[in-house]
Amino acid sequence: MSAAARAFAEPEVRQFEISADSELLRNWFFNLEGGILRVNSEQERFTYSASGFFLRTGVDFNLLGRPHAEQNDLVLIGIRYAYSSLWHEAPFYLLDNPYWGSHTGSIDRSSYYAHWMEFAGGVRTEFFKNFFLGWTLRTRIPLVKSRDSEIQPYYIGGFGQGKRRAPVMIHFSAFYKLGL
Amino acid sequence: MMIIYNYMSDFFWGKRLLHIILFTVFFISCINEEVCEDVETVPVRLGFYTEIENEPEPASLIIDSLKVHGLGKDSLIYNYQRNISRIELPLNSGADSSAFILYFPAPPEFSHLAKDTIWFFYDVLPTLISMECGFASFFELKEVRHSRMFIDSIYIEQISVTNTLDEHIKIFPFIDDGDN
Repeated sequence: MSAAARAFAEPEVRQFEISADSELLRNWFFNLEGGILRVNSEQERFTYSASGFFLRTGVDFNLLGRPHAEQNDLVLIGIRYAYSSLWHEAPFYLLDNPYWGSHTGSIDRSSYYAHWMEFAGGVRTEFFKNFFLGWTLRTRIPLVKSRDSEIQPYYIGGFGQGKRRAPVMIHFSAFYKLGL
Repeated sequence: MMIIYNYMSDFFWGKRLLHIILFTVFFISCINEEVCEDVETVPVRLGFYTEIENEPEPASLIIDSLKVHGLGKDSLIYNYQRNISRIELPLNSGADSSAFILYFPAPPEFSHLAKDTIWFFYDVLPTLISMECGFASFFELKEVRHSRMFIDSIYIEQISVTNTLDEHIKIFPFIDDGDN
């Protein structure tokens, strides 16, 4: 849902993400998250496009426990490992320089990858039967990034804006509980 | 665990309201308020300093009057600016080096001796700031050279020239201590 909100503010950046988790051990939720990224912007001063995917996996621990059987609200802290890969290019850009004069350039299509860790904390509450809404606050610690890329990606799928070093972001999610 | 549960039950008592507030704040926070003028031309910042005996840190030095222009350019960046301790110079993003001539205050008969040239050698890093602002040039300084008429030495403090307010270069002019 966070990605949908971002598309509202910046429609050139489209990210779709899906998340699944399972309480394999009591109060321990093992999760897998993944998504795709599309960036496409054609403007008078530049064109830029990117496409890629990302994966995250980790575990959340429910601090609240289960004092009652009907208690489905969760307070979670967790850790995740994440990987993102993308291709991007800027076939045309204009650099303004009032003193030396403006000039144009282009950047060929190239690949980019990033590995990072996430530390998360948040809540998930049952709004209706088996339907949950939740948010997590996440801080991201980059581990390894491409060094050979000619430019920093504008947006790294699953991570956030490429120029940010260690973003702290809030994720809003809607979940449906399957009766497995 | 019951203490945590009771505490969090109070928290969840207003969970729907809490979620609505957080969602609203999040949607508002998505509005992009990047100021494009601030990032259009990213300058290299130079400060003037002097060493003080028995002091670990150099002291800021105020130059009475300073004229600066780019090498091969007529238009002035500073036109006999008074009482100046820090300058900002626009690097040429269309080349991998830029040079500037600095004219320091001096009696008319020595004015030809009171000017120095500084050469900057760098990598240009085109960076997509935002969809609204487009591309700007960031730089990574590789080398700085200078003539030694008025400038004694230069120290590169920060090689990354980005849209922060960091000072990148410390300039140490020759100081006439009055003994000669």
